[in-house]
Amino acid sequence: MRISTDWQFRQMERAIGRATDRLSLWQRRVSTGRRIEQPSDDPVGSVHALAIRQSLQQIEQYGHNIREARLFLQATEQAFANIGTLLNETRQIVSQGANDTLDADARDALIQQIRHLKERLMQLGNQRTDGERYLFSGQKLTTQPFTLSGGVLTYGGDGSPLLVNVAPDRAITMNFTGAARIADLYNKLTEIENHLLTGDSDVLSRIDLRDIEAFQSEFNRYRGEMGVRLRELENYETLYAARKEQLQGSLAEIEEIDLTEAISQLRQQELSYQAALQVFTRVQAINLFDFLRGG
Amino acid sequence: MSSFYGIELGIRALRAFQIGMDVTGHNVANVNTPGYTRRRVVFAPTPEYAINPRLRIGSGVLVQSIQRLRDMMLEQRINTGSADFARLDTLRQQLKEIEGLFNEPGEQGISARLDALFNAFEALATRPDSMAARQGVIQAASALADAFRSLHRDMTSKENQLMEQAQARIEEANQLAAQLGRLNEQIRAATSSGAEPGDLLDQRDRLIARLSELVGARAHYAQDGSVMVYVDGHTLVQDGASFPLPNALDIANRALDSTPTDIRIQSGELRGLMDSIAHLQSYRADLNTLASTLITQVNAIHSTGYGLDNNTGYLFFDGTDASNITLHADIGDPSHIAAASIPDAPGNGGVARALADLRTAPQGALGGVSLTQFYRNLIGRVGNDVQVSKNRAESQQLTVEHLQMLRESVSGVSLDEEAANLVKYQRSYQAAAKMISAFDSLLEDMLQFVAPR
Repeated sequence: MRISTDWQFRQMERAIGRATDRLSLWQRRVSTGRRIEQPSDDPVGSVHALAIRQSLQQIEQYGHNIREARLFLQATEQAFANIGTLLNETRQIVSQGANDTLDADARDALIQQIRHLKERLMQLGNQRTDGERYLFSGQKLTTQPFTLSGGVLTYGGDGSPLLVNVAPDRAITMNFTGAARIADLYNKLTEIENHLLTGDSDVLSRIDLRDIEAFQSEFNRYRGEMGVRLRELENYETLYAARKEQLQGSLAEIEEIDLTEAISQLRQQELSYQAALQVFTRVQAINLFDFLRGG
Repeated sequence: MSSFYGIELGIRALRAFQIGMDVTGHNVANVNTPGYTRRRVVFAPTPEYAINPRLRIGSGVLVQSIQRLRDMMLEQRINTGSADFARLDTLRQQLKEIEGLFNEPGEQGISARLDALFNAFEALATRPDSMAARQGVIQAASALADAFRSLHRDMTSKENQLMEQAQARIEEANQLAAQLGRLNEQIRAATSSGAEPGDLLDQRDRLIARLSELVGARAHYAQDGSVMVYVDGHTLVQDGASFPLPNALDIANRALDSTPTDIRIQSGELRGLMDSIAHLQSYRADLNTLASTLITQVNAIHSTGYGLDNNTGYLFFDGTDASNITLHADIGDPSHIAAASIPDAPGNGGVARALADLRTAPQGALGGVSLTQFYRNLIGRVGNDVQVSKNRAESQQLTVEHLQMLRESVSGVSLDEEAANLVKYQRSYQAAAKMISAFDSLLEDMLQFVAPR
């Protein structure tokens, strides 16, 4: 085949051009560490990568949700722990009050104590997290849940659940929805106070003691429930940590280069670029006009 | 038979070889001229001279013609191939640019911003009472609306730019057609005088090549050296006349509006631009569908909820599609964001949760896929289109290069070959000169013999 001079040069130009293209592609890949810069670099891979990014974003948000729910649940659990202590003290007061041989001073002291406990219970019931949200008012969140009128404590919250999504199909209730029972407990303490005032040691020993014990086990159960939810949150957190790692691994596999392979590719491209340049200088030197010179 | 017969024969040879060297020089001089066709001198013996009825003697050489080495069949195949390459390469280039408008994968892309908005809704569902969560929703939503509008704006200005480029191609084709008409006249005039006007023909072929690259024009060569050029059913050039292409683009049919029938553009840069515009329009239609579905769905859910002020019926997004999506004036006050499904419950995040669930909820208006999936599919389609156009352009390039190599092997100038020709003609010239001096000494001998001093 006849090869024209211009074609020969154009061929070499093109060869050098292609070698430069490939060289710069691998230089870019090695320096950025990425193999997908535009969707067209790998259409299927980049769509997959977008989906993985979405899952990672969602997991990140669930992580925020879990931390939020944990703070609230821990505060609620702590409130129940405090109520538990309060109930232990109440039980002692009731059993001391059930003693017939109590003198007036001692009785007065018990009454003072029970009044003090009532005050503490009301404070616990109206406790707020981060200074704004009431723990026990349900979705009414900003309404003070317990108010006293005529010596009777009434519940003004709605007892509705505060839900937090921790998975696409799982919402955890981060508050205690049976908060009206705290008012019942308060009113029970008022009864005990009255029985101490009247010295009704019989009712104190027969009924009040039993009632307080019932309250103790009931509130213990509530505290347990909060604990169960906290453990579920922990499980999700562990699950997400593993899932996140796995997704990040897949994302890297799709979007990032294998550095060892990339560097060896880069070497190879450098070689073929140099080869193209050398061919150019060699071919350029061969020309019949040069041989005929001086002839 | 004249006594100077030999000298005349020698002079004819000298002239012929000089022409040979001139043509070689022309070839060498044009080694880098694009579209130049190499020339070859065709020698032929001059008529024989009859000494007597039984004896005829040769009378030397003359230059019969200077041939332009061109394979017209190949030329037409190259033009067709280049027109296809021009179409595919234009599409590849433009799609690559269009792909860049999407900013994917990246933080500025719509995908990341959709995710951010749904996360903000999720955060609001967890903390419906929090002003910070509400601000977060406003921020994420307005960033998303900005991204929609700016992508829509970029696409539309890209579309305008492509339209202008298409007009420029039509304009250029019409100018070339007019030039070609004038050239047709010149070639016909020159051909009728007998000589082949090589440089005019080269110029003509360059114009035809560019015309097929521009609009996929085809040429029909007539015996008199003139050429007829047409696009689809439209005659662009005939004899000295040119008939400009109309400039009304019909993108859907890849045609130019004309009477009585539209002119279909099958290849060339113009077709590539039309294909690019059609792709761009379909991407933009998807983007608008996505935006309008987002607006409708978010508003439908949001308007059922209650703001912190216990009012309901607030709209979230304003606008109809990607061109004009913004936040609705209703939520200018962040406390109006309706996170709750019931009044008087600042801790209720039911509506915010329903909004967050839109992330993966299948949408009838989107053919049963979610908002986020629909957008991912669009990105996949764009990426795939770019990849396919790239592969097709590259393979067509190889085809054209192969044809060009064939042409170059016929028409291209080889310096080695010209150097050899130069030596050949130089030596032949020297030989002819030697011959003249031989005849000269013969004559001298004869003159001395006839007229001795």
